Amino acid sequence: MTLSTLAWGVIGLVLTVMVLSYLIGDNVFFRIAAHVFVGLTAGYFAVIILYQIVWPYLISPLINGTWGERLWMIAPLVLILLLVISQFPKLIKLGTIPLAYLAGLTAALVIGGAVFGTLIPQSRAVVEAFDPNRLSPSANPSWRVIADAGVMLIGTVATLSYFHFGRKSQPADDLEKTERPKVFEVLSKVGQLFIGVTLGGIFTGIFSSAVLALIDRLIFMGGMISQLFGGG
Amino acid sequence: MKKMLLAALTLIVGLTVLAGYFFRAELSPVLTLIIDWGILLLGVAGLIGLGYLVRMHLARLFRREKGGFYSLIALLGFVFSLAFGLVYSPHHPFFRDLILNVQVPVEASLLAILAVSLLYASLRLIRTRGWTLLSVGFLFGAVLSLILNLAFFREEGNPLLAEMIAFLRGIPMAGGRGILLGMALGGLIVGLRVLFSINRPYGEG
Repeated sequence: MTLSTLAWGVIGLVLTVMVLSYLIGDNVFFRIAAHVFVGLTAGYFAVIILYQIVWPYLISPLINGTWGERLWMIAPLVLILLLVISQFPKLIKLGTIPLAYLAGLTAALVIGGAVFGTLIPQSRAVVEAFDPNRLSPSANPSWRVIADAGVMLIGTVATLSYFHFGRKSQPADDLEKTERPKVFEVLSKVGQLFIGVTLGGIFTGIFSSAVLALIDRLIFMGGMISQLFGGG
Repeated sequence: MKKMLLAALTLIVGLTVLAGYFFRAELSPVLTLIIDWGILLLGVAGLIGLGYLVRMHLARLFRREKGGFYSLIALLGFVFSLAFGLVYSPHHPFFRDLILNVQVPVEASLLAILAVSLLYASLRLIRTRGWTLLSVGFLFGAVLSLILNLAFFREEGNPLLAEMIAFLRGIPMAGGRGILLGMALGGLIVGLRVLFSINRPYGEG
């Protein structure tokens, strides 16, 4: 083990102990470790933004680009300038122009992602579970294929019904004004169950990762201490 | 007038990017330009955000407020990693070691703390929420996933058990698909509202 590896290992060990000390309550060591982490990470992000965004997308085209490329950089330069000077309270309104640009871009990416990345493929997966080629007697489907398709359909519809908060446009009485239609009430109860099961599954996944991280840290600490005091 | 211009800017940028989904080859140069400018703006916005973080810590330090010592530590860490990264580039071995041996242990340890917090929170769930369909489903899902992930059951040579386990593994997917579709519908509606300036997250102009 080189001196540098040992030094970094000791730093890692000290920081690990400082962060894990939070388990006995909030204390000065945890806060120091958290602020070291925040400071170094903020500096790291700044360096990454400068090297991987500002340099290749702004500085490099201005220095090495053709005159045409340089001309194209006027628009983003103006937007950046507006964004920066809008940080002064008196000029705050100028920031709405670059933000409107970003809002349009983000909205379009969100719409595209939602439609082409989720709505179409997920709806298709629910529908394809009922593909006649899979469910016909000639395909000899197992009970699981049929049950999977049924559970998937009920689960999806019931979960979506849980998030349906619409009311009748012309309610007949006061009850209809405040409550959802009966069919949605029943479906939303089933939906609650499915959402609970899904969240439980997600919880287990995160919990397993967290336990693995805890085990990893304990092994790391044990290894470092044995190397430091037990001679390796 | 300014409101109209801002709405037009949002709409033109948004519709051009959306059109790119259908006419990728034709609009490729324009899309590259729009997205590159967006990335650049987001990068600068990130730097401005970091500037605010530094300003907040500097203010806490110079006003001698409570926690000024911690701010000093955060600022020293920031200046050190920024200066080192700028002078030697982020690809320098020391910079890489710094990130690997400070960020990774702290992040892994925070995740380890999460294990204890999650366990405690799950134990309190029934006490605080009571026996609702959601909490029953949650407990069922958590216990089911734990049992299945432990690989407690041997599927080899038992096709019925294998089918059963595959079916049980698929149950959480049903709710997950509903949640994903709900999120996508929500995203779609919010996106359309922003695009047509029914909502103006950028302010009133």
